[in-house]
Amino acid sequence: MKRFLFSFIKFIFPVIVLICGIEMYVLYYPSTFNKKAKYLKQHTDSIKTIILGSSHNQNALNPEFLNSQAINLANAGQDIQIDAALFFKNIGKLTSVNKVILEIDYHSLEEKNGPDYFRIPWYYRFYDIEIYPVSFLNRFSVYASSPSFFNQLILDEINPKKIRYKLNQFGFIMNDFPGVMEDLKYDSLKLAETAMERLKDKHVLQSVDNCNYNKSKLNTIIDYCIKNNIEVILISTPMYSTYINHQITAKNIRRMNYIDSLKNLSNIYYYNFENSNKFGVHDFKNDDHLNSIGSKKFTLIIDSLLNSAK
Amino acid sequence: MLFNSLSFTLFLPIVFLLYWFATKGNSKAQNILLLVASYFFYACWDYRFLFLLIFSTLLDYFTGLKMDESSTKKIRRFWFWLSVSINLGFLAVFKYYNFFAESFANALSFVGIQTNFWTLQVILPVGISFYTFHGLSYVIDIYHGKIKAERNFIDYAVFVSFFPLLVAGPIERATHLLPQIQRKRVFDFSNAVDGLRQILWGLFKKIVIADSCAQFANLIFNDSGSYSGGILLLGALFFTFQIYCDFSGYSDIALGTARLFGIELLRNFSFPYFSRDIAEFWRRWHISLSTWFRDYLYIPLGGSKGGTWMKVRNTFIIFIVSGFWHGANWTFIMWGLLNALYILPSILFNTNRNNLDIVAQGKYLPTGKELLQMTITFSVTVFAWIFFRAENMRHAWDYLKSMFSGLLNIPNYTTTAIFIKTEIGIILPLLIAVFMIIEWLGREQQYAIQNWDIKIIKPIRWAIYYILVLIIFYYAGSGKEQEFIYFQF
Repeated sequence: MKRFLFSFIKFIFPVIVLICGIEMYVLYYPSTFNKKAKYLKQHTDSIKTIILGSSHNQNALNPEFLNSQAINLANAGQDIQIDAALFFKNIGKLTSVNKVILEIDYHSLEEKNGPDYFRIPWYYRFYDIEIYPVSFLNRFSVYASSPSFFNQLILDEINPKKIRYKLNQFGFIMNDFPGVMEDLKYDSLKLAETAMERLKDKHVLQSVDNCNYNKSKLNTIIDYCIKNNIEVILISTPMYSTYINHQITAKNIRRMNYIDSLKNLSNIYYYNFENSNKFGVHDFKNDDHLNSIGSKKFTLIIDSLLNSAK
Repeated sequence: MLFNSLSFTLFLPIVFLLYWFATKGNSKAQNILLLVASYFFYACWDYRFLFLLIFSTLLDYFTGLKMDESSTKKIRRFWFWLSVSINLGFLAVFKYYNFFAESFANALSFVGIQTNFWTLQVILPVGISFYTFHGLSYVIDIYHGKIKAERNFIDYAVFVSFFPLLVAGPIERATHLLPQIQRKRVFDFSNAVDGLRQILWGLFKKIVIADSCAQFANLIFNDSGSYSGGILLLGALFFTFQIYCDFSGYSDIALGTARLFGIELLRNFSFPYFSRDIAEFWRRWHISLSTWFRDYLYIPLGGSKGGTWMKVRNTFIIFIVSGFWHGANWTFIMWGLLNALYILPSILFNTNRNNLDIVAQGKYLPTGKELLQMTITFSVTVFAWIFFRAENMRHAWDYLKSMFSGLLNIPNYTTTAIFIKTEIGIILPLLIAVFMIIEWLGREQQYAIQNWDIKIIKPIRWAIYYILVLIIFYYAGSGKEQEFIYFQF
């Protein structure tokens, strides 16, 4: 029996080392989550602006180009309930915050992640927020929360042909990944021709229930900000015309009604860049995300607006 | 708790260490531990059905004792039929009631009578077909005086619910498993290593091959109306590999796990896709079920003794019952019927025992004749699996119609080639090819890689094991994992 156990341990030891190695890698490699969480921890006293939202804001606002010290806590797939959880988890510690930038894009109010959303354990691990119960295993292993995602990530890291993320100190992705704009050589005709197929499943969800839920979550953030004299900046990020043409009117009406309902509140500003003619095809990565050129342009515009809003 | 889950990865070493260390080799303590572990394992599925399992165990245990104690044949028969009826009654209620109610209602509506039968809204208790057959074989053997009733309840309960075989077999016999539970088990190094190797191979089959094939089989079968003939054929092929690797993978893990506890379970698969005729296929596929039907249905019906007509009738009965055992659906019955038709010529011409040996034994390659025989057997098996996988008879029929009409349409081959290139890729076909080569090379063993410890030197062997572990680890994390198919039976 001892011989068996010894042989088994000898065999399994490298496997366990490998598993631990992978876990350490996914936990500590410079991901957007990791970088942002680290930045947040190190600058609690000096951060003045918090940016929340989905990948739209994540890719649109580079804190590097903002005058006041900011953290962009927007992430891919992040919904308003996570925005609220992140906000309330950290606002008490962030003593200098005087501005909160919230994304209110076309999809923002109508979408809501469920308990099986694969990044829920990441928020638990990196930001200590538990939007839905996190399983016993996922409390200890980030890898176990989404093995397929990390398997691909590791394979991409090994593959010399793959482009690697370049993050700045704020966790903002600096380099551009190939997107449909580049793939179609910024040809607006081709982009328009192929838009229907490409966008057929994009942000198509219509849910009044989610809309009401998200509005109530946004209201809690806004109420807190009003009470604590924090400016709320609602923004709709620039979109390419194909994305705008694809929108459902009823969803937009619900969104605009909500924005209108906030008009009379003090310290709230709304900037709608969705149809802005300042952004052309070369500013976009794909139909609804700015590229590095677009994000720099957009951040500088927002910065000037933030300064004038004072 | 699935064999391919993390919870089982934690559960197994804990039970193993307790079994060999905490019990200090005391077989009574080991059996109590196995029983508790098995009930815990089963309760992880659905604790409510644990009571059904315990009831079924108690029923067969007590009726066994009563049959043994019976002074007259009449009393003995009473207890026997009581047990058989209750066991089959449970199966009928949980597994077949809705099927019969709906089929009867459909039949009545066919003649213009509209009825609204009450159907049960219950889920099928996992493993019910398997543990019911365990219990049935036990009471039938006692009734026929082949064995004595087991007096120790713990030993009997372990026989019924031993966790490696509890949910999907192999379907054990009291004559084979009970003596192993009763005797003292001694740890055997080479047996335990062999068990681990078999588990590794089972996990590879299930996680890497079966679950990957399932992805495409499900895609194609679930939307079969949208695909061309060539792709539908691919779907049938993927399901053929899926079901084999899924079920034989499960059986390998079950047998390997049992070996870690010093227990040998019945072999369930013996490289069935290398069979030269259907009779050989059925001697190699789900062996524990085939032999169960042979011993408890075919032989009592008269077997091969009553001439050709009797043999044909009995063969059709066991294949149809076997199909029905798999599920309450006409597709399973059709699958059984097809297999009976396949085997019919060999019964009529008395050639069903022509291929009792291993194909190309001692050789690397088969002869041209053997290759042709294997190809034909494999092809008809693929055809039958379409019924097994289809949702209903209409689905199966449409699938076959589109598949065969599409295969005659040459331009469709371009669509199939594009599908292979864009959707399937090269990795999965390559993995299946490597897997089949390993299976072919290991076809004289209990499982394909059993003799690797003799044939391959340790550093290379361990390197291959690590590669297998890495591949399993990668595929386990790919989010493709599926439940074992046979859990639904």
